[in-house]
Amino acid sequence: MGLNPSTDFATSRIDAIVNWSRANSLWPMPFGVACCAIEMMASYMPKYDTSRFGAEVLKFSPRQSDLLIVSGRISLKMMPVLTRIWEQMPEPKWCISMGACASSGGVFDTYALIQGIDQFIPVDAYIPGCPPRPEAFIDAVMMIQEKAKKGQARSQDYVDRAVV
Amino acid sequence: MIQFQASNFDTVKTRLESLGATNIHHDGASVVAEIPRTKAFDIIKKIKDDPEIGFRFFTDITGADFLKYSVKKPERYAVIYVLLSPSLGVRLELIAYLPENDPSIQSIASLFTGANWAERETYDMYGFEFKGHPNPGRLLTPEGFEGHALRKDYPLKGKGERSSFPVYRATPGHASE
Repeated sequence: MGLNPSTDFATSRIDAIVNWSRANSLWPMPFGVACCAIEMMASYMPKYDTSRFGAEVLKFSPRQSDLLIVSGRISLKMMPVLTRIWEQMPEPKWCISMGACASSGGVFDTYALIQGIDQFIPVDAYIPGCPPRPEAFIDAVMMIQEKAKKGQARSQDYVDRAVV
Repeated sequence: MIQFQASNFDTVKTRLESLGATNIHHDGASVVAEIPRTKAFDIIKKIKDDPEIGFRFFTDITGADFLKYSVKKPERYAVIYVLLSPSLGVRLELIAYLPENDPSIQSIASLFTGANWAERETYDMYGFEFKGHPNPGRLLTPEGFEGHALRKDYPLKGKGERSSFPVYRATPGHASE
C-alpha cells in the first residue's frame, strides 16, 4: 500500500483490500448442537460482543455465510448433514471446531459419535475446552481473521468430493 | 405428582392375576408384574379397556438384556411396558421375557399411538421384532447400521461404523486436478 503525499488518493493491491474486508466482515454459520453452543451464544451477546470483530451477523443459511462454527458433538447421523452444509457454503470459507467433542470426540468414545470432524471437513481453528470460554472463542475468530487477511483457508487445499 | 395408594394395589393385583400375570409386587411407587410374551397384547388391551383399573396412559416401552446379569433371569431379553392409570394413580411396569433365539413379541402400536416410535427405538437398540408394527425399522441410528447397540455383547466403540460409513468427504487435492 502506498500513500502519495502530493495527491489525496492511496494505491493498493485489490487482493489486500478484498482480504481486509473479508476478515472484518465474517458471516458465521452457527452449527450449535451441544453445550458449546451456549458459550458461542454468550460470545455474541453484548458482554463479549463479536461485533467488535465484524462477525456478528449470524446467518442460519449456509449460502450466505463464510465461517462454519461447529460447537458440539456430532453423531454418525448428523455428520452427513454437517458435510452438506459445508458443501453449500460458497468459497472462500473457514471452519472453527469448537470444544473437545467436535475436535476429537471428547469423552464420548462410543459407537455413535464422530471422533473429530476434521476426518471429514477441513478445519481452520480448533478451540480446546469443555466447553471453552468465550475468550477462547474470540481468540479463534481472531485467528480466522489473520488467515483471511493473508488470503489463506484450509478449504483451498481440499476438493469437495462425494463418496456414495 | 401422583400418590401411590396401597389400597389400589390389591385391586390391580387381583385383576392382573386373573389375566395371567405372575410375580406381582410393588416398590412403593409403581406396580411391577411379569407377563408371558404370547399374552402380552391381550393383557395390555384388557387392562386398557377395563373401566375399573383403566391403564389408558401409555408412558414408554423399553428393553433389557440380562447377559452377564448377577441375578438369574428366565430369559436373556425382556420388553418392559410402562403404563399409568389416571383414575387409580398407579404406575405399572409389565415385564415380558423374550428368549435369545427368537426375540419377538406382538406390537401394541394399534392400541397406543405413542408405542409406534417407542417400539422402533427398542428394535433399534435391542433388535426385538415387534410383529404387526405398521412401520418397522430403525429410529435413532443411521440407515445401514449393523447390530443393536444396547445389547451387552455389542462393543462400546462400535464395529468401525464411525469411520467407514458412506458420507461426503473433502479430500486433499486441488479442483483443477
